Amino acid sequence: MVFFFLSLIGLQLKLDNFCGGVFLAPPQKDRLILLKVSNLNVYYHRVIQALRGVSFEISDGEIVSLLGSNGAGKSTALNAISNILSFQNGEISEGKIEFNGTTTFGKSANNLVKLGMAYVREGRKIFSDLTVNENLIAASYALKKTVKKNDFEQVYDLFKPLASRRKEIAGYLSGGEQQMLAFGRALIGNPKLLLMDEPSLGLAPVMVEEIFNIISKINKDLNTTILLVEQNANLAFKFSDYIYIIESGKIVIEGKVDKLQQDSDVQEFYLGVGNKNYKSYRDIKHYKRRKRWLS
Amino acid sequence: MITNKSQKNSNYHKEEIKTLPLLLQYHAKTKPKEVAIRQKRFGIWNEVTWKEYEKEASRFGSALLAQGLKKFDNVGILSENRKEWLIAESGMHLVGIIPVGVYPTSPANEILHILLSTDIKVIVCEDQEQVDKILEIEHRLPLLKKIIYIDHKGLSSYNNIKLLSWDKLLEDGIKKIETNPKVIYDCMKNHSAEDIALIVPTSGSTGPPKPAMISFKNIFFIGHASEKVIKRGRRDNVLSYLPLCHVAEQLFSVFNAMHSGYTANFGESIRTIQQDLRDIAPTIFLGVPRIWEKMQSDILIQSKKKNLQSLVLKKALKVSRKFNDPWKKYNIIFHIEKFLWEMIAFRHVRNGIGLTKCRIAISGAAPISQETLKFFRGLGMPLMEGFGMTETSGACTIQSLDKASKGSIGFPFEGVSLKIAEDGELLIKGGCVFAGYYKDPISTQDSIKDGWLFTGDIAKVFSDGSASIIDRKKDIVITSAGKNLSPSIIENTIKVSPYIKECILIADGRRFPSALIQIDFDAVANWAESESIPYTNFKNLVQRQEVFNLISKEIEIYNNNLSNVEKIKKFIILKKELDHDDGEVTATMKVRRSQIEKVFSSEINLMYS
Repeated sequence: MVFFFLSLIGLQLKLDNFCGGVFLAPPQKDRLILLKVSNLNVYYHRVIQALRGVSFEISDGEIVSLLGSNGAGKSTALNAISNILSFQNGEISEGKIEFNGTTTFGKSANNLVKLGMAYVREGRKIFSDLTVNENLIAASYALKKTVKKNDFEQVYDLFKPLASRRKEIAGYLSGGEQQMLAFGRALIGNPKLLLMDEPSLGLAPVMVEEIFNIISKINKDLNTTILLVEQNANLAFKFSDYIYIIESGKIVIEGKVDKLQQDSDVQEFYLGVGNKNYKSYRDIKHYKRRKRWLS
Repeated sequence: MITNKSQKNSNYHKEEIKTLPLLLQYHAKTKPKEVAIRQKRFGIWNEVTWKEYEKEASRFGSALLAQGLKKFDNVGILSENRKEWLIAESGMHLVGIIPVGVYPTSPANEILHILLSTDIKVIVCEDQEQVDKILEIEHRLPLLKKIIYIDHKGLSSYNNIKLLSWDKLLEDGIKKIETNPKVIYDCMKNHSAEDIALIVPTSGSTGPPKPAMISFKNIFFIGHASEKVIKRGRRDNVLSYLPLCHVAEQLFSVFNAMHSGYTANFGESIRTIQQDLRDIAPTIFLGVPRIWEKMQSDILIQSKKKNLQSLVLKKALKVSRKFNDPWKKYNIIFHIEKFLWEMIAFRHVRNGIGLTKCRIAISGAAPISQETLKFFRGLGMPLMEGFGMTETSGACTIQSLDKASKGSIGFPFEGVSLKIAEDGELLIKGGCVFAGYYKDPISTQDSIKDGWLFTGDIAKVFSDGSASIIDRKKDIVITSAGKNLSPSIIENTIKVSPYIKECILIADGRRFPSALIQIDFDAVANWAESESIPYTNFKNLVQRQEVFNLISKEIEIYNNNLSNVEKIKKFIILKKELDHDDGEVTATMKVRRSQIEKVFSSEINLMYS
């Protein structure tokens, strides 16, 4: 009996000291994670911090967009992933990047290409003195052991205008065609992950729409996962599955496209459709306090 | 107006000056070239002398008269703290118009309530954001004649006839003064000490805000009484950063600044406060508990890093506990040790938070945890807790540096009496008691009876005359087991954790106390990075199991400081920060319990199911 009471007191003491909580678990992603970036901090010239603890994930087969204004750190993120920061005197001070389960640190950019990561840089950067075909050959240099003739044909199949101009000097192509060539170059060797930095830059509106249709086609037909950096938020929302919004080197909002499209803050600040009365740039609001990017 | 005698003296004649506009003119005459206001713009501190201050204020006041306003009309100010706030307020004082401060963070419906209840005729808006809010509710404000905007960015395409820019308004003021140079003089002839100086809407944590009227008499009473406790002088400096529509900031940036003739500084914006503090190094600093908790959390986080500096800091913080009683007489060995630590660490810590020259640090507006007070006192900062409310014109009790007090809020000012009612409510009498609510005699009668102000706070008065606040009368909760709990004591104990920013106790009629926890984003993010836990943003971070475990451990630690019935048994981490926009907190970040319990009812039910 005494033991019974003692155990009751013990139980009471335990209960008193107990502090439990109700854990609200986040929704889990069901697909395989192809790229995982954790707490990335990047500095340029060891002084300017461009990324402040950025983390994100990309599942296999998705189109994911990184949105943000100039200087937010979008391109830096892509440069860090593809390991070419050192060319701009940048370095990763903290953080981890895992591609397909292995870390990318210590692997050079051309090794990453071999592992299945390709990068279409901002401003196309094609070899303008070479022909279209020579550009593709140059792109396949790192992959010469694995690349097949068929890969070239696949590119020409995807980008019909290039097929008829394969022997022409690339510098004479139109802006849209040059962008297609840049895409084609990246697609040689069937990468698993394609990084794209502002593919719509400097293109006519009709061409921009077409380029994005191609991106969507690459994703569906070749099952290529795409990480897209864009300033054209409307287009990014139309074609992506998942969005991360980055501001001053930090991710401030993330979510599936359909969910973010219902968010009035995102609508107003990123899609410019929050207020139907907006008629021109003069109508854009100059609010001091931005909305909280929290929920 | 001002006699030669008072001009000669550096200190004015107290009998002669009884209103703030007279004081402004006095300072403009006796020290025209001394700095009255500093305003930082694009990284440069611009100075406004007392002479310029008075000139600008006169122009603003005359311009309001030119708009057809009369004495005792009310004009709203909807702006963050900036020099124009003070110029507008003083300008109104000069011509006998009454300023009404409105929180710039208030949503349109709250602004509407305040403007309607105070019959606002003209409102001064800071920028497009505030103008848009007013335009949204303009059709429901029949008395509103003009909307004055300070910052014109984005407003050029607006064509509402009520809109008028600050610069244009001042030009009207200049014209008015040119046509009638005695306009200000004529207005000031009729001023009396009994006039209402300011209408301050109460914070409204339990109901809609009520407009409280504060007279010049109240202000001068507080000015004289507080000067005896806080020895102020014209060389003092304050940084104006808490909302100026709150009576506490008015007290330091306007009432006391005018009274002692010291400088009020305005930083770039509320977001740059840390840098601004370091620039200015204020000698007097008023912080709400949240500010002190944040500073404490920053210092604690710094001490948890793994480098030599942080190790020294950690050791210093440990040692500082010895010195956290400012009233204790230390022996010489203690003084030497304190001096050494002062040289090694304490002064650097104070420098880091910008309070290196701070002579008097005050915490007010809400109860603060004793742990936080001791933390700063140990670091050599004389942090004192005071008590005041809008209805007592800002302050009425404060701890004294000269004498230790039994009660946490210290001694009442000279001329203020404290009394405890039968139900434990604190009653206050004295010159600080406000002049009543604007056009609301019923509420006024309810709160002032026979000269005693009913504060709505449960308190204790000690034998030495000092007092302690237990909690708001309406906030005291009773658990289903019949235990009375004071939420603020429990919440403040838990909030000492550097990782917990807000703790809201749920216990009324419940089996056990539970809490809604809001994490301190910066501190937890820092911790997550040091532990290599990836996260994207606030929402993502709070949903991580590791963060949940961290908070769980923290609550367990701080639960030890509470009695068994007070211990928090369950908690939930909130997925969003509480915000004024969503109605969960007031403009001064006071929690609106009923609203929160409604918004998070499903989460709360989850804890008790």
